[in-house]
Amino acid sequence: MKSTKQKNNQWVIGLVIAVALGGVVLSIVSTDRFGEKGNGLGPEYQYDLSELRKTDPAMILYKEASPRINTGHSWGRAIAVGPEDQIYTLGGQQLHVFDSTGKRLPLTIERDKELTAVTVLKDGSIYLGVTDHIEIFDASGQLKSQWESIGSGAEITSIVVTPDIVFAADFGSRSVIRYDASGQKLDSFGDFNLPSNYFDLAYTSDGQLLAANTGEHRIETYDLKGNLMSWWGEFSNQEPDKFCGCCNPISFALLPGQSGIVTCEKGLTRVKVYDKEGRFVGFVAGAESFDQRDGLTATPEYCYNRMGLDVAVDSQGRVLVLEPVMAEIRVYQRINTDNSSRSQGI
Amino acid sequence: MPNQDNALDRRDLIKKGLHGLALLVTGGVSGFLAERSQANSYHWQIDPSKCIACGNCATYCVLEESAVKCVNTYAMCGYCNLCTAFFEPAPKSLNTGAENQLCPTGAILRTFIEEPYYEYKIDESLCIACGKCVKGCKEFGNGSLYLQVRHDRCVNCNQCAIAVACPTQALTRVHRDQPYLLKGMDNKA
Repeated sequence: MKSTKQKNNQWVIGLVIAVALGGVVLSIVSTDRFGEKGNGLGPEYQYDLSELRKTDPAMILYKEASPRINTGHSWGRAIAVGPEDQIYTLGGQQLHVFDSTGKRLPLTIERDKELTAVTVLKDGSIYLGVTDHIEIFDASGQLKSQWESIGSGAEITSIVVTPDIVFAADFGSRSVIRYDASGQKLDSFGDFNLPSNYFDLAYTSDGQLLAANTGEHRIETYDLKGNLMSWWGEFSNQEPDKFCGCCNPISFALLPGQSGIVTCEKGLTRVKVYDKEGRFVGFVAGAESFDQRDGLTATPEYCYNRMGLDVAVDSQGRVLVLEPVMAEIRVYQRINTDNSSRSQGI
Repeated sequence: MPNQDNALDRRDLIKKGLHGLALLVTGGVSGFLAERSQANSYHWQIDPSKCIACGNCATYCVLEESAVKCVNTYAMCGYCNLCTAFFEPAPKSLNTGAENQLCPTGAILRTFIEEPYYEYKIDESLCIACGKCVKGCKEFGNGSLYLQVRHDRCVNCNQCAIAVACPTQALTRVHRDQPYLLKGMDNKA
């Protein structure tokens, strides 16, 4: 028969075992083995751009004018406007064409390299940047000319065609290549500061070349020989009239009559309007309007692809924004208001 | 009385038994070493195309100081004057003052190279793998900064605690011949 002391010992041992088991169960339950409770780091370790993404509604001067146009690409790259406001889009190795209402036209051009730039002339001629060289097609999509490769590592991101000179922005060499009209390379100029592969050009009717020097946050003006004439633009993440991030604007287009310039930015994904002197006018679209897309680009499937917007403007002043991730075109039209920027003719 | 033949049989039996045992031990040890060797042929690594820099690497590693560190692929880096991995999203000014730096531990070193380029190095002794700079680089820049398991620190657990806690299953096993998953120029942003 067990003594009282032995019984007490058994109780103590039982209690110790119960407490130990309870501790084990508690530690298993309370330990966040699967990361469901987050990283447990303090607020100083969080990266938050939500305040910077907010746009003053009074600054938004445009609204979406029609349903978005599905380009049919799996990933959008570039957009241009041609005769009769036809819309040309690039995605992967294909070019697609739409009429001004967004209806897909039968013309498709496909090449064996990525299409990286497109410009369409008034006669419908299509100048395509095919990664490292330029190809020219007529309005029906027939190949007319294929120019020599700039070299390995070249990436043509924009093409400007003037009566005598063709300019190609080459991200690879961070320079602008000058060709004569027959495709003979003349020379190159510039040592642009381009941290990522966005490098846009435009041509003004008074004979000047505009180039986005993104690392300097500037739109620069050159004469046709490549001499720098002037520039405007500066950095700020907080001030909406300036360009954000490491390298913006990633793309731009001229409004009809060169009354202003529409710019696109990455980081804080937004579209803005400046007058021809570079004074900020307002927003076409604020960062909030790209929340869904920015949510997608934060996911692993998207976050390391090129995802910057491209922009074109048609003859009616509609701003056509190609959103690469959803591969769709947003069509923006000026809201009819009588504010100061309208009185400036923009 | 046992005959001579029977006595020899016993010796033979013991001898053969010992030989068999030796073979068994040798085989077992060889198998064990081979298995260990095979297990050590693979290491944990972060696939940068899956990583979202959630910060779990900083706190779920079994080591007091995480084996995960930020790395910079210089072939991709823009050497930006205005590096969004180095500066706060709303910096007071563009200098190396602590109030302007994004990294809470000051682990990114900024060195002037030539106008307008700056080099950014990670001081791994200060980096805790929170991924804040990785997000800054990805949001605005070209994603040249990303997280990798450093094998001089990793103890190569059979079941990596970070891998279990990773929300995107970015931790993967890689052969020791290629222990790092480095980004190249194809990863443009």
